[in-house]
Amino acid sequence: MNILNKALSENRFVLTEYEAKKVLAEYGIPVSKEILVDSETALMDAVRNIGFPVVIKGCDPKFVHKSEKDLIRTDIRYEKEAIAAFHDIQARMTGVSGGVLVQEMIMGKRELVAGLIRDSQFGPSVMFGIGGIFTEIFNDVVFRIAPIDKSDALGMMEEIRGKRILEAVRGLEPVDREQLSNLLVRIGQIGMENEMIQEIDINPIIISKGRGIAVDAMIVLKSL
Amino acid sequence: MKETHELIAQLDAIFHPESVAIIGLPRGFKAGKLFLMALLDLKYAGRIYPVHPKAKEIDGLKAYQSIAEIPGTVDLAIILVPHHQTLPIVKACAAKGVKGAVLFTAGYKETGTEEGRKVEADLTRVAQSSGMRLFGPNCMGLYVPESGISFFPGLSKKSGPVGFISHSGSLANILGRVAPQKGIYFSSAVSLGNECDISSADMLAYLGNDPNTGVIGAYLESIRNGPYFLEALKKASEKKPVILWKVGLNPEGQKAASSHTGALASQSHIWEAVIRQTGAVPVKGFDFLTDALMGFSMLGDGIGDRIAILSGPGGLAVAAAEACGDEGLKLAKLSDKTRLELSGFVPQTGTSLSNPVDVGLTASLEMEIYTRAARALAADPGVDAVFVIGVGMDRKTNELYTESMIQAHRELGKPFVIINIPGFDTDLAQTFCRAGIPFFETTERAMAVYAMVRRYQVWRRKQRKN
Repeated sequence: MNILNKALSENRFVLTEYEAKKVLAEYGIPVSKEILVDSETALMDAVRNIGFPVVIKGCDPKFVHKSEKDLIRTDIRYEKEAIAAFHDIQARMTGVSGGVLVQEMIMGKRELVAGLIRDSQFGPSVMFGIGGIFTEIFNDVVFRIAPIDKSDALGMMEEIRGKRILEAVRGLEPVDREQLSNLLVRIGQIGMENEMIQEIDINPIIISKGRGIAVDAMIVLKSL
Repeated sequence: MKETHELIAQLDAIFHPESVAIIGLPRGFKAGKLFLMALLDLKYAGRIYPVHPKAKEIDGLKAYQSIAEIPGTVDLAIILVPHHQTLPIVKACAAKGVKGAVLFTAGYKETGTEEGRKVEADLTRVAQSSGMRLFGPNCMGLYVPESGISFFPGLSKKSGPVGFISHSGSLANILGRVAPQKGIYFSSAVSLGNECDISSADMLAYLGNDPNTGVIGAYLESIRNGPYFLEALKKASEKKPVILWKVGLNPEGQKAASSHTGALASQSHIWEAVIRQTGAVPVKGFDFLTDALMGFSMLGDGIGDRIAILSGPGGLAVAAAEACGDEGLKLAKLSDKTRLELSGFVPQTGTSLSNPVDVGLTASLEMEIYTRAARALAADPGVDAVFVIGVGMDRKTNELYTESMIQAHRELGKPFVIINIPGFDTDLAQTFCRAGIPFFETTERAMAVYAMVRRYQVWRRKQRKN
């Protein structure tokens, strides 16, 4: 894949969020709509294209955990706000090459995580579980060795302790398990077909109108 | 598939050898002598050829100076020489047409030295180019009672349904010694050591196809070729239960990962995935392993989840009912006929006629109460299995209890599970096991194993439907 080879040729082993989501999108995984911008004019075009509310993020492979670096502004509803966020984030990114990412704001209360790790004994293994800020707190995740099929993926959804999050709880619609299982199967496929990928992390996957959408992602390549 | 057929044919020949050479067999009483004693102990009927650089004869057997000098063919070679002498001997065995060799000595890859690693790689090359299969190095080799071959004296001559794979020679040996007390008998057991050639996945393929093996057990430390292992495990599990005790599941493998996924991927998580995807049965610890081997060996196919509990002590009856629920099993609803029958001989006070059936203290004096109740419960069409928690007042009553329960089990044909009450005679516990009735130390262990067997059977039925 071009994106992966380009990163390797530049001696980079962590893809930017923008690149990682391009990889996911190529495999049919739904990702939030987003545009990379480097100027105020481009920003305004992007905002008009995507439509408010938007999220504005710093996008550089050096920033693995963007929220810890204060590089995310969410729920931006006005042009003035967008411009302020753009300059503020740019100022915090001095000395790095990356641009600023304008993203549609995916609305949803439920956050899941999915990913992939290349296990030294068993090879690519798909992960699924509770996402967002609770990922590390609850450690409620399960794995399957890739390749996985739909029944494996459905099994993973049944196996997490917090599986009720997928149901029609508190007036929310039930999660579309077909769509989510498809997403997990595709992650396994990425691992099987791209030997140079060491880890994939999609966190959060936000459930919006029942469907899972990758809102943030990272991909780590093998550093041989 | 062709490779699997070839592997199975190779292993079959090695597991049923017509002749065995013991290379480096000591003249005096040293550790290596145990391998000869083991063959003699199991009354191995084939030819035994000691190989020794100087001796003309060892323990009445004609000795040869080299493998090449042996007249006729050699199927299995047990190689006891120090590691730095192994390579030329393995080559000589291959030249002689030996089908399989067991490499007992340690001092290879496990030492972490470059030399050890290199010799082991050389051994693998010899095996691959000659077609001779290697076990080990750093292993005890094979125990196949049917063939009269064994890795240690004192193991049972009787065959059974369990095929066992072990990364530890001493553990295989300890299990072999304890097993008959629990009514566990082997089709074969193999200690694999460093797996320079034959691996646990190879053995899963072999035992999965072996008509004499009904249950596979394994003690594993590390997996060599993950994808091959996964496939072999899945195939074997679809045919018969594979009980795995895997050690080394600590988070040691979690290096500083940069993603959430990496940080969360502990070894136990990945192993859990392997278990889920293959249908294998995980156990932890020696006691649980032997309990599971016993349960899977003895409980028949298609066991149900409606449990009847019969107990003398009231407290244990309640505990058993709780364990039953914890394991996802159900307390059987007894029929009116059964309850009426029970009321005919169970004393009225300090007892309970609904499930769990508490027969009270008098039953310890009148063993008849236990057996009649057990028979009534087993005869109830709403009961799938009878769990009995009983003990007599003395040796004599315990003997009567044991005999009559075994008799009732035979006649009624439903699964019986016996649970120990401290003070019960150890040899009588073994009598139960030898009669094919599982005997557990605690009610929790009994319920856990029964539920495990049932879960596996349900899973397999589902697999076969799909």
